[in-house]
Amino acid sequence: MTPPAALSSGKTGATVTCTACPLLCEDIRIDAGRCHQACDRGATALLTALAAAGDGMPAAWENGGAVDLAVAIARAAELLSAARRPLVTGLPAATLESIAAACDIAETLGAAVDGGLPESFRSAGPTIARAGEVTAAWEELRDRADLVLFWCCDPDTTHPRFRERFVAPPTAAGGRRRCLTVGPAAGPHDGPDHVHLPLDRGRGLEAARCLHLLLGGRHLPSSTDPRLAALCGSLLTAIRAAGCVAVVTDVGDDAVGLEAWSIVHLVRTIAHERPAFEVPLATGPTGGGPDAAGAAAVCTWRYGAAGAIARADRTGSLFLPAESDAGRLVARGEVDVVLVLGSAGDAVERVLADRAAAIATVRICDAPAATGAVTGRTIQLRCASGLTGTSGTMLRGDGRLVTLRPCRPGVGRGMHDLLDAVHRAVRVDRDAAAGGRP
Amino acid sequence: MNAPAPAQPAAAADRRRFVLEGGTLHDPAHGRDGVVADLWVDGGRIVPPPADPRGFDRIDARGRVVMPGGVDLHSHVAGTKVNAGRRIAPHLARHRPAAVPTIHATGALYAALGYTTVFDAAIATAAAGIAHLELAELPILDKGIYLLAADDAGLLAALDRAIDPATARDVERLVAAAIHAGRGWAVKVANPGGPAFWKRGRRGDHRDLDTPLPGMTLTGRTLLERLARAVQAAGLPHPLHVHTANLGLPGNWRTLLETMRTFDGIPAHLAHVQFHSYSGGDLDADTFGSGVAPLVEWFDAHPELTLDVGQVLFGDTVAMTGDAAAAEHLAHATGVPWMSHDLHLEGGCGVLPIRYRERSLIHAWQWAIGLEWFLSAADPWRLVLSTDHPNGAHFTAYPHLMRLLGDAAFRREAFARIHPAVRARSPLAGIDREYSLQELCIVTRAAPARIAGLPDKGHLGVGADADITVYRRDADLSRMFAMPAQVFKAGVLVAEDGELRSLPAGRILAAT
Repeated sequence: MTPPAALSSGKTGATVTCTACPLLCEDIRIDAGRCHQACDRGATALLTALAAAGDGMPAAWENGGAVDLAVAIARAAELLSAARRPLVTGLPAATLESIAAACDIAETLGAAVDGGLPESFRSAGPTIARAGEVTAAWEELRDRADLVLFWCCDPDTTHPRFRERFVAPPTAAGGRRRCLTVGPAAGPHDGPDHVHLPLDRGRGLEAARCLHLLLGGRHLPSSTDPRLAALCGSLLTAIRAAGCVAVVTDVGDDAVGLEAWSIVHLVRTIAHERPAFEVPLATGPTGGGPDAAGAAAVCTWRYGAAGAIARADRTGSLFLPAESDAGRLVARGEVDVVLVLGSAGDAVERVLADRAAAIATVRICDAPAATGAVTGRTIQLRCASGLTGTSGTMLRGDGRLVTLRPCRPGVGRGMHDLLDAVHRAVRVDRDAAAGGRP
Repeated sequence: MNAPAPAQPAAAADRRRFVLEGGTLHDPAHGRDGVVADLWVDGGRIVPPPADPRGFDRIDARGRVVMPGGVDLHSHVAGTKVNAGRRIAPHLARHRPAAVPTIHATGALYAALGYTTVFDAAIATAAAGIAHLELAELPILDKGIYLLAADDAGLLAALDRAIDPATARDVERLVAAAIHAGRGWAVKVANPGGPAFWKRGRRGDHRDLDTPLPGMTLTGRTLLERLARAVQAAGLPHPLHVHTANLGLPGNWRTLLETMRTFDGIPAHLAHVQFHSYSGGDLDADTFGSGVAPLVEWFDAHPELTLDVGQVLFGDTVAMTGDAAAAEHLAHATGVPWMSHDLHLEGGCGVLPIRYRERSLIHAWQWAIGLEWFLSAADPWRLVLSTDHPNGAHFTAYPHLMRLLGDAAFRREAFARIHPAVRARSPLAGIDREYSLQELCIVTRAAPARIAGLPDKGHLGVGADADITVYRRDADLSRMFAMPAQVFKAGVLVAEDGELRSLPAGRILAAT
């Protein structure tokens, strides 16, 4: 991709990290104004962010109008300190350091915390926790799996270079890999080693249950759709011929959790016969974020659950799935001030826009354009670009820690710094409200 | 932490320069067994009595028992598997304390119990970075990690080649590099060679220490021997930390005995030996039992070996291990949900909830076998009190375990409630030994500090870290050890009668 003319100032030669999706590709090179190795989405995002950097935007806005940063920080702290019930959200787009800083604020305020992850909005909440799961790092898939089942997922959209980096290379033993795509779309990689098994949208659960029956040596009910029976028969044959099976899934939008539960059982059943694991990409209803795994990890070690934390408390918080998730708290009007790191995700942003008149927002983001129309009380603090200027660490979806190498380190104030500044101001306000008592 | 109102609140939470007056000191490293003496503290360390005592606050410790802060040599408190443990059983997360507490609660609960140092015993090198981010939020305690370096493909290949001094040095270099990269304190091996079988779907082929790993001439036995030598040569403070093969399986006492024989003069630490000390072969009441006696005989005669017990106590908990094959076996045996995660070219982990029941034959044997180890091994300096938290029990159950060891009547009452087949056959029935306060101090402080390689901890001598626990004497040892009157970490009062007084960060302990 050719960059905008203004940008040749990006760091050249050295590799940088792309945070446009949860793959967190670390092999991107920006050289002579071109972006090498990146997918189209990543290149567009990186080059656009580079073009936008240093364009003279204000450091902060209040209700849409530019204000001094120090004033904005003080106002943000006032809003948060005075909140009846605040909510902290947008964590999956932030670094681990920023997530921790946001959680510090939440603990000071006794706020609700939710990263918008699948676990927090499902009525079945910790379904997977109850079922258990067998998973693996993405490199394990690359090195070991000679059969990959893409189960009702579309990694080309959600994780564009996933196939290129982890599926296209041969296994560590040099063997070929067979791929079966189960779902409505064939994907762009059909070939002799890649077969599409068509399945109508919404029938993944049924297919998982049927295949589970066959793996257990049982017969399918006579009422089973013949096409579904044929599909499961093909899958069974492929699995029985494989040495190691990887099942790539994306069940983030499954609001009940039953499909996720069925696939977990399916993978465990395969794993009893031969090496097998699930690779859950899990983008979720909000589109996730590059650090969705990091948000889940920090919330779990701090509060004991990945999200839907009713009140942030490090000694152990109440986890209320489908009750204290960000979307429902905002929709029910149970929160009056929301601290958003970057974006809260499409679904929550829509609800926030609907209730903008009643709910104040403190947002730390890299551009006002990303925040939508300003209709209610809003404070926005501008931080360094999440794509080009953010240092720190993120957790890849499979649990690997990635240290970010930004194109333009040091350009713009980090989100983490701004959160710390807001936190200091909140504590001053609260101390003052308590009559000077700590 | 429920606690009564403090009877004698300290004057200041942050008391960096003080003298504990008239306490009854238990300091086994210096041969002080119940000696009444003052203890002077300045700048976070124990100091000699100053020429000018002005400026030192005085804290009355008369009639109280003073010990070094506790050192947990083998626990699981952070990292990916611990996070999985927090989520796998939401009902256990709502217990107080939670079966797997939050990282903050972990530090607070340990401190309130009088413990001031903890090691997480199983972190894959590739996952060390995120574990350190989490550990940085564990308050109060000094903390470190043992790296599961032995599952790394590069190190395994080097171990396979290490047949002479030159190639052995490659192993030393890789061990040192892993410790540096992962900021580790020690090297742990979980099921030597097991993950190589596990990842190739050949777990059934891995029965003993002498089967070559797939595609190698290296066996579990040669892996242990070469790795232990490399750890020794690298000068790490703690010897190779060994979780040997066949964890939890009937008849596995032979594997542990072979493991001990393998070291033959090389220092090594044997982890959670209770889980590796079973006789029998087919899980029935007639054959499953204790294999402790021959193991203790060997252990007592070989001073290069140390161990922690991994005691099982009855109740709900979550099992977590870097030995995924063992977790799978346990999950299939019990039918409970489990999690497994494989890491690129390295080990993985398995996690599952478990309930230990008094009337279960297997669980009762596990309980009795752990106690048999404690009560029959001769030298408490080579033995560490642990429950392999949370695998055998929650660490907050340590006071209960200490009472089981120090109060034979209490132990007999507990013994009378367990499965009758175990009561009939366990050697524990004939053991009347009771641990003294001094011995309890050794297995919870002095020995783990010495074995871990922490010269400034586990004792009350001049120059030691001022990690000090002050107890009220109580005939009920469980009550006494559950609620220290005061706990100091590096000279700072951190807990008093079960209430937190301050939250210093604690240090990360790294070998490089």
